[in-house]
Amino acid sequence: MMQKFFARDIARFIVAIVLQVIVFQYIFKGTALSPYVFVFFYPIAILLLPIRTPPIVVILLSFGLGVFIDLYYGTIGIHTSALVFVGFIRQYLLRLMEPRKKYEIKDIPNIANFGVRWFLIYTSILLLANCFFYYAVDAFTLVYLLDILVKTVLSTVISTLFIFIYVILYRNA
Amino acid sequence: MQNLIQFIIKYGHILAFLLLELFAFSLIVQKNQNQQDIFLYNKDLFFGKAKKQIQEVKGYLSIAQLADSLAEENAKLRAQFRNAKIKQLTIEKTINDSLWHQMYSYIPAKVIQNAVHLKNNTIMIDKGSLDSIQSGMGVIAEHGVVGVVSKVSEHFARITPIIHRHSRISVAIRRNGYFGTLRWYGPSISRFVVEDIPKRFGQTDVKNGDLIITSGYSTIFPKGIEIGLVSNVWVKEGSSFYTVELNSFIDMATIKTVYVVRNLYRQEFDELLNSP
Repeated sequence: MMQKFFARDIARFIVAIVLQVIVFQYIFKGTALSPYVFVFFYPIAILLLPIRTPPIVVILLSFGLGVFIDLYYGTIGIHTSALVFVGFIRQYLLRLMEPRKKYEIKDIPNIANFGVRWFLIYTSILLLANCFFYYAVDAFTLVYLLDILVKTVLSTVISTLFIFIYVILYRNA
Repeated sequence: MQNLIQFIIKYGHILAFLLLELFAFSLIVQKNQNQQDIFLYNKDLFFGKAKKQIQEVKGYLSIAQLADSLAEENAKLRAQFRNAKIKQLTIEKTINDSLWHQMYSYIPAKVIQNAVHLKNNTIMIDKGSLDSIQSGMGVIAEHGVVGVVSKVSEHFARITPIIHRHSRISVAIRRNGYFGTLRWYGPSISRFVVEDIPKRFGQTDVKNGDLIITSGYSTIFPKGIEIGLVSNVWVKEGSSFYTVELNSFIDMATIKTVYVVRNLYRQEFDELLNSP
């Protein structure tokens, strides 16, 4: 049982990286939206980790995944810092959003377990944090705050949409 | 040990989060040109500001010292004035080959206690007999005469200021040299009265706006220290003396640094004056 979950988590990491690299980075390429939208798909691997995963493990996995993505995009440290932040606040958000019936040991935060509404709120909040952190660090100054906010909102909405579609398509993800 | 392990279990994720973010940011500013430029710029800005502030604080700390040395220098400069010197015309064969000899020297001092609201006010200064201050010496400040030393201890001196009922200073009108006595009857600390200027027939001896200076007749103060301007003149009925009201330049309520006037010829002068 445990092994099955473990294998599924590993698989999700690989799928996240592969889809990010071969599909989602090209989606808006060449369109007017491309300077404003970056599809953050890879955080799905962190979002869908089992709820009872120890926080320190979540953070370390975030770091590893972030380094991987950064190496690919050549933005050393930027994705990493944002994703580590997401890994850090995930546990607090989960604690805040705990439904009345309490979490079970094997629960994964997905639609099948908690419903569409819960999942959309959960995903969009974490992605919002991720996007804002990413664009703030990318600019490295708050002088262009408006610019940062526009990019953050657009990227959050579109990334949430794609992650939602993916989770609908693969209910067992 | 138990505690340490429990601590790590409880707070390890926060520690890991902070360490990893620190690591990520150090990578960011090392490997990304944009972020590096901004980081270095802000670093310089911040440390530059901090340095400037430290410098400013240091400046404030040394300001007292600076004020002391300025007072010292002021005293020296005052001693260079003409009115601080005495002319020696009878030059015989002496080793002194200069015409002007030092007659007054100045000792800077700080006011440590000051009262202006009484009928008989006093001022205390922080120099005493160890700094060669004696009773009877004059005290001046930047804008005029302050008073006369009345009592001296080793480290302090008490001054009878010009705003004291018993204070009498010999003053003169600069325009014509007529002299009188400066008195104070209160209550305003800038309003004084000059008495004992004799009335002369058919002349306007004193006018509003005349400048009052020290006369130099008392050997306590050098001649020519400006005291104030005449604001009112009248003659009391049946009197043959003017009563002159004047506004002083000095503000007795705010004086901080004063100079004690030391007459280097005082002993000689007193001996001659008191000889039978």
